[in-house]
Amino acid sequence: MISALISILIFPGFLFLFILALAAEYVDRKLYARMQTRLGPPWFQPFADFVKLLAKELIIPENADRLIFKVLPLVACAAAATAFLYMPKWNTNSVFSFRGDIVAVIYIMTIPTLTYFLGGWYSRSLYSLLGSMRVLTQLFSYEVPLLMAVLAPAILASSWTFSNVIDFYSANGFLFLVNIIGFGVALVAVQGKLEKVPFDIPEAETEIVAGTFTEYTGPLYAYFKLAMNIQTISVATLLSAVFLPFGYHSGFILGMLIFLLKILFIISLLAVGRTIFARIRMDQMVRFCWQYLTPLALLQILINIILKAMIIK
Amino acid sequence: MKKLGALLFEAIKSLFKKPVTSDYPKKRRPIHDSVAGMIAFEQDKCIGCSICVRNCPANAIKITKVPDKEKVFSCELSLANCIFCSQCVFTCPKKALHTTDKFELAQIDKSKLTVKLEEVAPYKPETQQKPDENKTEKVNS
Amino acid sequence: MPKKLVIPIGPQHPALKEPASFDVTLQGEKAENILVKLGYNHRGIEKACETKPYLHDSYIIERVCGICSHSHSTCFLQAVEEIANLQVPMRAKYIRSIIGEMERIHSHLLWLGVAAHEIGFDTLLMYTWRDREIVMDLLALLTGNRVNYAVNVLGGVKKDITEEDKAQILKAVDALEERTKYYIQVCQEELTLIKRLSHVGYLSHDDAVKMGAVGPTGRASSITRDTRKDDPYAAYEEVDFKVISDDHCDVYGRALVRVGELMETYSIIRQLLKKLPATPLSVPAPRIIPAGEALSRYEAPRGEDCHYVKANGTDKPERVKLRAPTLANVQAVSAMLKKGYLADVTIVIAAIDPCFSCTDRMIVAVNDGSDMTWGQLREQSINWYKKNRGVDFTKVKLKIS
Repeated sequence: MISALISILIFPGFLFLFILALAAEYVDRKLYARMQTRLGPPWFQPFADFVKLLAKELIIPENADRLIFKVLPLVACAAAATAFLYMPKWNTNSVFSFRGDIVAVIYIMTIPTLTYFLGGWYSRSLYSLLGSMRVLTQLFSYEVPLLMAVLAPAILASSWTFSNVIDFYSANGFLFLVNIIGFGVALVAVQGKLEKVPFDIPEAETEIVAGTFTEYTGPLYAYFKLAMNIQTISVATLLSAVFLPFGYHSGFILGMLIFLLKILFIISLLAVGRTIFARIRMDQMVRFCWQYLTPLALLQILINIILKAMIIK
Repeated sequence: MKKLGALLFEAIKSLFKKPVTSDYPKKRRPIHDSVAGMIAFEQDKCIGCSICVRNCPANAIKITKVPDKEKVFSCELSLANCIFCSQCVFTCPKKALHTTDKFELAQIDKSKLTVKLEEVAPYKPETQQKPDENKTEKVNS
Repeated sequence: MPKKLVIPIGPQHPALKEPASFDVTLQGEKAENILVKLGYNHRGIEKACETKPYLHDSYIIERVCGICSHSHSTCFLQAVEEIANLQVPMRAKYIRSIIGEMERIHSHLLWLGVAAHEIGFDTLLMYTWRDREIVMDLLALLTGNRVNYAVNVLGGVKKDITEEDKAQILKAVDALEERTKYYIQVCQEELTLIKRLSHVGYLSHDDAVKMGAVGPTGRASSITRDTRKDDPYAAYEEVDFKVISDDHCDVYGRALVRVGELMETYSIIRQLLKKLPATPLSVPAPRIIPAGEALSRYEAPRGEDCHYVKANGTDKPERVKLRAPTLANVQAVSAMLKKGYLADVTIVIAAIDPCFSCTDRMIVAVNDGSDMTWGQLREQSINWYKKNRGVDFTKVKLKIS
């Protein structure tokens, strides 16, 4: 009981995740700044921002549903953190695992996106309303290729469970490299999930102010921001478990190091992605996802099915 | 030729370059000596013709006679009004006014914004050439 | 009929750097109708000019706009110099042109950054604004100030360009040219940028002519009109340059015109520096300007700037009228925004490089707020001129459609 509580609250649960999330924000912002030849924030900036936002006055719009408006940021945080608990970190076992947990994790990770939609919807503001419509439209575009890309490696491993997938790829050396197309597709789709350029359409600052988060201020906004950062970590953990399944059998210290390096690598790729592109329009985003990303993900699944037939016979 | 990520190479290169922004109050960029900042005043040259007062578009400058001295004039500049156009410097017939590179002139106390130029910024040709580090402190005190 | 969503963009909005209001009626993500409201930034500059001497006016006029300050001040002084019949020395004309071209560089680079920011391309914003610092430093070196240069005086200029300055300018222009080439390459290559800018804010050639679009906005709709070429002022008669135009007719075309103009600007600066004549910097100017009127035109970075000055033989002008380029272009915005997406509204507005503080003038309802027909207004103006000026306009035939 107590060990379960510790693993939920402290390590590798919430506290560890909190630090990782703030570190992820720092790495993202620093890389973004350095790629633009700027100085970038000092290392404690994400934490300082978090504390500052917590200390601010809480303003709730008059027309908003007070309860839902207040609860949603916490739900977003909780959902993003829960997904993290179900994923393997430095060894093949996560805190809680069961058969078919890949599918469960993907669906848990959709919950924060839904809270962004509801948060915008219940704010009763024009900009939030538009933002939440865009959140949903975008969700329907990137979710399919993301799901297919993540499931492709699992198809090859004939299991829907993280530990089995990792064991399969660990036993087969460099076989995980066949999933490179899926990795690319997943990286692009994740950019949409995390609402970063070129897919930051739901919170496009120059069009609809801050999109879904327009009415959120102070502590509630801090939790939404935290949820976004935790989501970054969760997504990076998911991608590293599925597409980079190595280094899970090398003990705690080395395993942890490899895990952190993999996350850093994925966050850096996401940061580069948001540096070098312009934000595209909603219609272009939907067209891009269905015209290019989904066929590519299908191609990956096809490759894996053929490979599987060849290996297993 | 159209392609995705035309900035990629430049962005990666920038990672290894020195940042161009700086930690402002701690580190300052060098500025040109010709920056038209606060006006400096040479009291010996002033003949009190008040052309600068008449030409000032912002009514920032004031020339008064020093009470018990013969042909000595005092120059008062309101930094709140001054628009740093250096019209006074341009039209001074005796070249008694000069521009300096002092530009960080904000004050919390409003009364400190009106300064007597012969006390705060007397014109010294030799120090004007090299910018010194604590030049803003002098104005603040 | 279902209720339509009306999204207010402005008067306060992260995309707008100055207050102006655009009410967008939405049909899904598409903008159906747009209502432009100006006038949040009226400062009474024209009236202030009438109450101050000419010398002070040149500084007030310089503050009409933060970016094209030199354009406005030169344009105004050209009009006053024409009335006073002052022969501005050639060197002063050259220096005015050089500073004007530098202003064009910094304005166009600024625009490129702002446009990139509107489409979420913040890296390009940072890069262009970083390189803009080169020309800002140069302006600080030459004039002492970064934005309101205060380099013009009636009858010439205040600051000279020495041989050392020349070397520095040439070095900086070389660096800027190299960077601009890179930006042209980025504009032609980066797919997301092209996707966001092309076929957005379409303004056909005929519409552009009808709406009176000026500057890069007009030139992107293949109107090859440039005051520097058509009505040369300052030293533009002595330099050789191309008028950049484009037939894309959209925001992408406007971006290409602006980066293309940057390349021309570098060549103009080099030519001007090479030919810089050795004459005095200014001629003494009188305080009292004889009665008369003049209209002066100037190709500001944003388009043609017109200043009308009427002098009445005192040291103060009787009337100063400004026509800033944004006023000519803002009419075209509602035509450009027809059937566009909400996402494109801000970039289309930004594409004309709007400067609302330049544009906002006051309109006073003459007849205690009630509506007047054009005929009544004309009758009233004829009566006013007959009574106050002794001029009879009744015989002037004006066909008004």
